[in-house]
Amino acid sequence: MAYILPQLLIATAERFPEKAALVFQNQRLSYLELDEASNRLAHALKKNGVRRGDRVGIFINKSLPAYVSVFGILKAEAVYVPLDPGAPAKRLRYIINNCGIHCLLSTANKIEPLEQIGAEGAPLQRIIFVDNQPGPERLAGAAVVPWLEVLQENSCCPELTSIETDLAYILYTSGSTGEPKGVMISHRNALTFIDWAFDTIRIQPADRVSNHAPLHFDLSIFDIFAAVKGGATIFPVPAETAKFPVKLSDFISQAKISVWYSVPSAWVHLLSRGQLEKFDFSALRAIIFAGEVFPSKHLRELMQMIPRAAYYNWYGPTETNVITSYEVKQPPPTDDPIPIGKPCSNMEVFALDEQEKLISEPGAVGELYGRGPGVAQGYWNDPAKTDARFVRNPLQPHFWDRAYKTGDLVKLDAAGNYLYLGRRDHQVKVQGYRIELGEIETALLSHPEVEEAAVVAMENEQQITYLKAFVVGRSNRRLNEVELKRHCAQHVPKYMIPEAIEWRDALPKTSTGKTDKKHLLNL
Amino acid sequence: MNHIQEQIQNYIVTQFAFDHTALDPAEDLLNQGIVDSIGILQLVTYIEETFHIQINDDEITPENFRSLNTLTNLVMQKVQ
Repeated sequence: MAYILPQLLIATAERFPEKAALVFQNQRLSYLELDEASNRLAHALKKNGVRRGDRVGIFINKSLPAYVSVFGILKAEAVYVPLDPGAPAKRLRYIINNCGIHCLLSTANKIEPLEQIGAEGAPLQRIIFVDNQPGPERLAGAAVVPWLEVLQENSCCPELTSIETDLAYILYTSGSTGEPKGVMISHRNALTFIDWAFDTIRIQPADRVSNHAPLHFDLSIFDIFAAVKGGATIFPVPAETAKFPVKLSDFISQAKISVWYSVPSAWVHLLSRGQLEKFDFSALRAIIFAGEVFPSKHLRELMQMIPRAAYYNWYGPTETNVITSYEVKQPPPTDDPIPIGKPCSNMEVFALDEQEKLISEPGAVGELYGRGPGVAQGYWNDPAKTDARFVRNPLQPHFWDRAYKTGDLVKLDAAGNYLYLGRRDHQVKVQGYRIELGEIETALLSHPEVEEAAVVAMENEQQITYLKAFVVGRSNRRLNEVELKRHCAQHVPKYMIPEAIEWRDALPKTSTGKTDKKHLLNL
Repeated sequence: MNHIQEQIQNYIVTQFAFDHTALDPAEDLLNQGIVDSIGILQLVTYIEETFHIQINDDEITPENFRSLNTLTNLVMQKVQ
């Protein structure tokens, strides 16, 4: 049994060396090629000073080198940190500083953003280019190692001394105080989810698994590692294809994708503009969604359109990965939300009411907790935030057992399934991205002309969530919308920038003097 | 620059390209990461409502949405 992630690849490369591990835009990488390329990269990382437990950044658009990087870093016994290729330089510099990334993997088409990150003062020492393109000798204050140099390295796997409690990767998520926080995931954490998901979906070598989510989004963990464990082929969805519904329908159909995992909004777009009825989806046997609520009316439509597939609603924050699952066996008869289901194997979930008492009766409301080997190690370099969320299990007085407090409110239905009700705090989901409204408000308030700002999540007619900001200016000079959005774009990724901005003379207040967000939502 | 192009340009700059100081009509809106998947559909809705035209699903392609120029051409063909 694999106890660290790179063992999944090593085992599959031995079993199916010639089988395609990845197919991307007419390029194909066999399991042997993926194994050997990542071995060479691991040796190169070590030669360039990377040691066990060091954090190594991946700053690469979705393409084959990104996957080679993931395994190369893990085989160097280091921790991979995927950086959002679309995030602003300030935020990337923050992440690079926060978890002390000295070595970064990138490609030649990222020279310009790397220069900007360097200008922000990131402490980079080495940048390894994981493609064949020529690059400069130095970049962003770091020495550049070309791929040609990596190719000189030994193609055998370096000795692996990592253990399952070592970190495998760190994923940064939005933080309420204005700065992202790094969720630390160990090999054990990741494998707890991967083993369960692999068994539940019964991944086979013949499977063709999509990778729609970016690497910095934890949905990618299933796509990459469950597929590699089973010797299936991964089909990364090219960024441009993902933007155009008819192209995406064509991609799923042409690639004969058999297992698809994404946020529901991808399907909502396909239903409205993807001409699903014109394509053949007979290969599609499992459609899994997570990250946000799938509106039941759209899910019903999809299940009627593609009736042969099995449908799964998965739930779990990055801090636990997926912890509950619900197989949707029939198209939802009403527009009521579908359950998030029951716990995954080797994980336990429970909900406590306001008196910290366990809820067990249908209808009672509580906050969901998750415990078990899937619970992350906390937030990188942030013991205060870690302690607030990763708490001692209140139901276990006899030994020290850790539980993650999700902040999600749930209730039980008569069949013992959990139903998601909403958040206890100001976190929202847009296209599956987890967003702390406070982080956007902090970005708005950092503009010298902004006196007050409140951001709320609203829904359009398609039941797609979008962000709207209400802003009070400091002087009579009315700030221009573009100017304010441009300011936000320096601090937060694009998906966090409010779609609409409304100027007001004052914000409505509750009796305790806080901004009355309920009032704003009803405007 | 004609009136149609100006309107689309204003919308793109306000909604998506606010971190660009100027938007060249030939600038690649897709490769530069200016417009994402939600953005494409927002753009479709905006164009349909503003110019009172219908954009068919199979016209929502990279070829038509590549740049301000290609978008303007698409709209011009339809309003005539």
